[in-house]
Amino acid sequence: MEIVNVDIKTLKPAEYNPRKASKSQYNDLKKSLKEFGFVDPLIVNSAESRKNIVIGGHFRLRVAIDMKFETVPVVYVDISDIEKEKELNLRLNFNQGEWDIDLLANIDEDLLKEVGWDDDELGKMFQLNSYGTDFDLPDGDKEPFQQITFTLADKQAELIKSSVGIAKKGNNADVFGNENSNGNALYRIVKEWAEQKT
Amino acid sequence: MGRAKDIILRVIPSRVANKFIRECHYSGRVVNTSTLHFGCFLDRCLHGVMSFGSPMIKKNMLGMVEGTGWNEMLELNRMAFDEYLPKYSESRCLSIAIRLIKKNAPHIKWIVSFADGCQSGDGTIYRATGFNLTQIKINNSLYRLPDGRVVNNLNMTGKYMLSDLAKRKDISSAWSYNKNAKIMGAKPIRGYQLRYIYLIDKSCKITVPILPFSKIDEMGAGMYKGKKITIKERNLRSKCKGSTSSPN
Repeated sequence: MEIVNVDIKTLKPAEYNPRKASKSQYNDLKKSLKEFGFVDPLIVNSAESRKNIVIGGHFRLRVAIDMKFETVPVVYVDISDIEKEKELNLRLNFNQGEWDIDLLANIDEDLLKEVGWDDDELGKMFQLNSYGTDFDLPDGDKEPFQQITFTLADKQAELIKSSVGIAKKGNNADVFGNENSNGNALYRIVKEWAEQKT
Repeated sequence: MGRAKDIILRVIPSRVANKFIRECHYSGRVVNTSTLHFGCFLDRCLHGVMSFGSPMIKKNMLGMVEGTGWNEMLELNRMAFDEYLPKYSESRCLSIAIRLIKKNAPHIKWIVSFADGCQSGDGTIYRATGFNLTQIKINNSLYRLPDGRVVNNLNMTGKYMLSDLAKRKDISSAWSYNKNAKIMGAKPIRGYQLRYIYLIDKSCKITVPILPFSKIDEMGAGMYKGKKITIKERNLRSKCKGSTSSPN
C-alpha cells in the first residue's frame, strides 16, 4: 500500500457522505492532529471519472483544512463505479459515530443492510418516507350493525352453535348488508321461529 | 421551543403505533378501538405516538357537547413519547394532530381525553394545548393484578376482557369485574382521573361544568410523571430553576 502526500486543495469530499460529527468530536480530533499529526491516511479515488473524491476521512479532511494543513497523506484506490465507491464509504464509516440521516436515507436500503444496519434501525430510518398526513374518518350516523352478547349455559351454547352451523348452509336472503355469517344464520333461525309463533 | 419545531407528524399504521405504545407508554398496553394514529418523527425517526378512536362506551360521551352526532367526536386514548424528544414536544405534537384532524375530518367537532392521575399525570399537556377541564373524579376503575399488570375494570369482564383472563377457568366474562377481581386477588389503585375536552368547532357548547385548573390542587389530584405533586409546587420549583414556565 502506497501512501502519498497530496495537496489538500486537490481533494474533493463525496457529495453523498452521510457521516456527521459533533462539536466535541471535532475538538477531540483537532487535539489529536495537533499532538500526533496526520497518522492515518485518507482513502481517495484515483479513477478518472471520480478523481480525487474522498471516500474515507471526510471528517479528518475538514479538520485539516480548518487547521491550515497544506498536504495530507493519502492512499489511492481505483473505483470507477460510484455505487462501489459508496459501499466502501459506508464500510469505512460503519460503527463510527453519528450519521446524517437525511443523506443516509438517499442510499439504497439493500446496500445499508449489506454493510451492517439491521432491519430495526432501517425501519426507523425509512418509515417517514412512506407515510403521509391524509386520512379518512367515518362521518354521518351510527353504523347499521351491532354486537349483542348473551350469557349461556354450556348446553344452551352447544345447541345454538350447532343450529347456527346448520343454518349457515341455507340461503342468504335478508342479510341487510351484514357480512357476518353467524349473525345472518342466527337471524334466519329466529325469524323462522317468530313466523311459526304468529 | 427549540428542536420541538423540527418534529414532523405523519399518519402511521396501527401495527407501527401499537409496537411503539407497548414499548413506551407507561401502561405498556394499547387501546383496540383506536383507529387513527399519528407518529411524531424527529431526525427521521419515530419518537412519539398519539392514538385516537371512538370511546368504548360512546353514547355516554356524546351528550357532553350539545348536538354531537354519532361520528362527530374522538377520544385521544393513548399518547406516548420517548426521552429523545425535547421539551414542549408533546403540546406541539398535539396541536399539529388537532390541525390535521380539522383538515382531514372536518366533521369532528371535539376531542375528549382522560389524564390518569393514579399513575401518570394530571394533564399538563392538555392544559398547555387549550383543553377544558371538565371532571376530576376518584378513579375506581384501575386494578393491579397479582402479576403486576394494571388493568381497567372493563378488562376483567364482558367483551373487553383480556384474552389471557378470558381463558382462566376460575373466573368468567359473565361475572362482574368485582367478583373476578376478588377471585384473582386484583387490588384497586386509588387516585384521580381527570377529563379534558377540546372544542375543535368553537361554536359548540360543552354541557358539563368547566372546572378551573386550580380545582386540581384543591382536590389533591395533582400528579406529574407518576409522582403526587401540586401544580403550585411544580411552578415554584420551575421558577427556582430559573424558568418561568411550568414543566411539561
